[in-house]
Amino acid sequence: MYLSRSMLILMAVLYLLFLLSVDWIAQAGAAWYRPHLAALAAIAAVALTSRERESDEF
Amino acid sequence: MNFELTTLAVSGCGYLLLLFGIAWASDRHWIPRKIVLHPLTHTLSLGVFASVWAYYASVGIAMRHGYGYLASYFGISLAFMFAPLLLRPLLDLTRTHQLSSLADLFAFRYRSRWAGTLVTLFTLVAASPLIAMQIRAVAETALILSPEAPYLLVASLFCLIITLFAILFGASRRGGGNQHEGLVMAIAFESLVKLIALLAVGVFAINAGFGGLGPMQEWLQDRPELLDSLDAGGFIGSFHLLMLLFFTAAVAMPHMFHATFNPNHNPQTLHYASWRLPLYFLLMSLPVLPILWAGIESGTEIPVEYFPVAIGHAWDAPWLSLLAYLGGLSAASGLIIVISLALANMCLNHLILPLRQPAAGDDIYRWLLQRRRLLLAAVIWAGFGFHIIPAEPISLDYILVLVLAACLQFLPGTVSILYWRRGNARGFFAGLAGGAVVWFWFFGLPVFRDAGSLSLESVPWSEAAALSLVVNAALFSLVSLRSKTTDAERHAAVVCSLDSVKRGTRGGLVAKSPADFIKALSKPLGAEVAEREVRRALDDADLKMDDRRPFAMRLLRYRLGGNLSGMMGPSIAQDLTDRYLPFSTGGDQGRADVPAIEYRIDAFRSNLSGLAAELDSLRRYHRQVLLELPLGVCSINADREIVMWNRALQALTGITPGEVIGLTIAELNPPWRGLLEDFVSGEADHLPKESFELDGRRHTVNLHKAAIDEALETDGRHEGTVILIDDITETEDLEAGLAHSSRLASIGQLAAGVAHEIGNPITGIACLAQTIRDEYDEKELRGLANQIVEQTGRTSRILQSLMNFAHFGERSASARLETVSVYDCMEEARALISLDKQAREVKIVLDGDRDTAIHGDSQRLLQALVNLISNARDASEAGAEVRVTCHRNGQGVELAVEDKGGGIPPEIREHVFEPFYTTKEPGAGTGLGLSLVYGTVEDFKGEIAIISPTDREQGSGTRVVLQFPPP
Repeated sequence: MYLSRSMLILMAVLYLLFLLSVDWIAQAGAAWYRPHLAALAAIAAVALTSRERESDEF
Repeated sequence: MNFELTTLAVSGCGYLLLLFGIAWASDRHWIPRKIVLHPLTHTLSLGVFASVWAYYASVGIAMRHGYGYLASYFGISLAFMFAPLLLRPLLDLTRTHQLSSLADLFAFRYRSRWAGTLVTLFTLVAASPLIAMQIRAVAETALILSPEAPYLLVASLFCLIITLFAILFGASRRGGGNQHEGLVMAIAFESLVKLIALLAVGVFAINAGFGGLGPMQEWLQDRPELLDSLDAGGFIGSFHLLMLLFFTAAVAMPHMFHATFNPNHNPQTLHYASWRLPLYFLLMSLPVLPILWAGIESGTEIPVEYFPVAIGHAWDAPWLSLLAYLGGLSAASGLIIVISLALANMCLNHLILPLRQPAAGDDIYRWLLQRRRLLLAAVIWAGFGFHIIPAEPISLDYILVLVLAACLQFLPGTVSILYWRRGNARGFFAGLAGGAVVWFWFFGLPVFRDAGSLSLESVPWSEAAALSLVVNAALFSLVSLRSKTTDAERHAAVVCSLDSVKRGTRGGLVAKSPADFIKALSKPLGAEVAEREVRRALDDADLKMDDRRPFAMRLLRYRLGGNLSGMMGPSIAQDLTDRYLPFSTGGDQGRADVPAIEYRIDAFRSNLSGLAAELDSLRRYHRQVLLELPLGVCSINADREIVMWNRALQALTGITPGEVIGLTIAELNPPWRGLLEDFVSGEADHLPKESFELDGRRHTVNLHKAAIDEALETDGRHEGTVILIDDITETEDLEAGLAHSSRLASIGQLAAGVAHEIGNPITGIACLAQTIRDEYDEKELRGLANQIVEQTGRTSRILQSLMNFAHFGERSASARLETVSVYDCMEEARALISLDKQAREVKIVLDGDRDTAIHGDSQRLLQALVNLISNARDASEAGAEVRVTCHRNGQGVELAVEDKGGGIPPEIREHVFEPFYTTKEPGAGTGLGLSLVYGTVEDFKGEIAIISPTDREQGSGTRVVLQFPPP
């Protein structure tokens, strides 16, 4: 009722990416702001999904 | 570099006064409403979550646990990014039932006062350290900036100002509303200030501390141990659990619940905040590491938690220290204000009101307001007390985890509200008790044992938190499955579950009108409050004071229950509605209240997506088909309440669906009440040609009905009946007109035949009389014979007229127009009319020039005159005068027939020349008369006009004017 298909897919994809990104973030000598970049990508994905829902509903 | 105490005090107080000003200006609408009500304002107010731990403690956590500090930001962000999972359905629930806290929600779902009371007590215990943490941070940073500052004075002054602010802007409204617009605006402003302050400190740390981003990176490369420490202790292991703790905090922490589920927020705020709030938290988290490293680089001795203040201190930038201090003040004050408000409401609803309620004579709003204010102050000062009790302060990150682990105990109960209907109060109590024991054992006891040396490293916090959650969830599930769920709990579970709108009962209420509601609620609330609350609920549900529909009364009870819940908590509201607004029949729990379901589906339509949305579209399409059907459709449920009333029925009855939906058919006005009641009660499924009187006109309808069997009903019960009403009045009129016309035609032929047969002997009599008159000299005999001749002549004329009348309509192609004496026709028409002894006696007055003539057919003119005079006679009172006049005018000849009757109503004037249109009783008129007149005048190239009423004052009289061209 509340969860759209795109939201469900996004949840699954984000969780998988989170698991994959752990190694990338913790790499020796990596930039300290890597987790922030990953978070920004996730936020952008949610923003896109959110825009799609807005156009559906209003 | 230290500050004077006065400088610090003036800055702090000045800043808090600025907050007062913003809240004040918003409440008085001096700040544009567009800004105050904007979703961005509400989204920023949710930044209250980032309190002292996000502002100060996160630097310490970053120092000890590396990237682990991000778990807090990511956890809360996930809750909003995936709002449809938990927050959005909870928002709908809390808005619908006016639930203002987690305790309200649990009490509502598990139908237990104890659920609310236990949750309130547990939250009070868990939240006090959080308040204490904020007070401590403000006082300690003040001490850093101004070492001579008296710690307790700073802390108590801060608490005093915050208490005043919370009372003025958080508990200032009468009526128990939650519209703290000024407060929301102030909290949003605070969120902005702390973000700007932290970003400013971060930028300064990078530039002043290292000379830019590049040099900072080089500095880091020279210290690989710092980079390695970001993954210190394998942060990933506990990262999941930390994120879960913060994810739960979005719902379980009282201040977040209050800010997120404020019933007066724009419902789209959550949607708006879904990525904007995570972005806010991301920005908040960004400067944490640079601040930490700059603090390390500076070699300051200030505790790592307070590095945001230390940066300005170390690089001799007093303005930055002051800005950082104000940012911290914002973070602390925002949380204390909102959490104290939330806790005060919880205590009032679940600790005070169950024990003592205001008497009916009291001003209930004032009573509630006074207690809410007292509780607000008590909560803030309890936090103050908590922060001075331990001899040695507990570390900030330990307090944070202690509070979060306590909130985690609400997770199983919250998830069950939406996703597990089997959960019941016993299971909830068992789970909460089990989780609380584990929590107290691992987190609470150490506080009493060795507060000073407590840190996250000294307790197995992640295992303990996970264990408490497992014990809680296991006990909750087991006890719920093995214990009996009450009907009330089952009903509440359906109301709260995501996939059901089949809520509420369909029974009748004892209170039949809003006035009854006021009377019933006057006992517990007092007359004034009862009336105000009932009117408020009527406005909310868009109902009127005189509404008496059972459906509307159920809706009113539902809204009233929600509003009372917002004022006094769901337990008291439930008690009040159950006791004072009971169902007369106990309600039929098993049957759906169709209008209520439709109301709810419409209200939550925007939530539908995918298959549900498509099914809803399909439902709307089928509904529209029924609404637009050119047959009257009315469906009623098993209680004979009207569920559907389509447009054709609206056109036939003049009753709109809005007036009638929810009424029982016994409450309809005549003739529909009798008609539908008899038909529904009767055995026949079809009732042809049912006639009734409506607005002075006879109507005929065909009725059909069929039972509606609900798909889910297995006991063969009927869910209702659908009735089709086919209006056949016009068809009936047409048929009656044709039959009458046909009968008249037969009579005309008969009359012609009779006239012809009588004509022969009459001619014989006339011949004999003439012979007597001509051949006998006896004067008396001749006189008698002459009279016989005259009378037979008269009889012949009557017969001829009858024959002419019978042959009307036989317009021979060869009929020739000739000069006709209008006056002669008038006389003949009068003679014919006077033959009808059955008709009403009127005085027919002829007036005009005898030599007035037109170009036409005398028989057809006669026919037209007979029709007009006949209509005038029918419209007149007995003995009234009907004037027939003819005279020449500039355009030719005007012939008029005038009566003093009731006139022709405007709505039928345009129909009078239509064939078969009649206002006379069936059988009394064919509806052809004026049509024939119209045709005759047209054929004579004349014009016809009707003037009605002729007497405008009385509104009576009709004058039909025929204007013919000169011969």
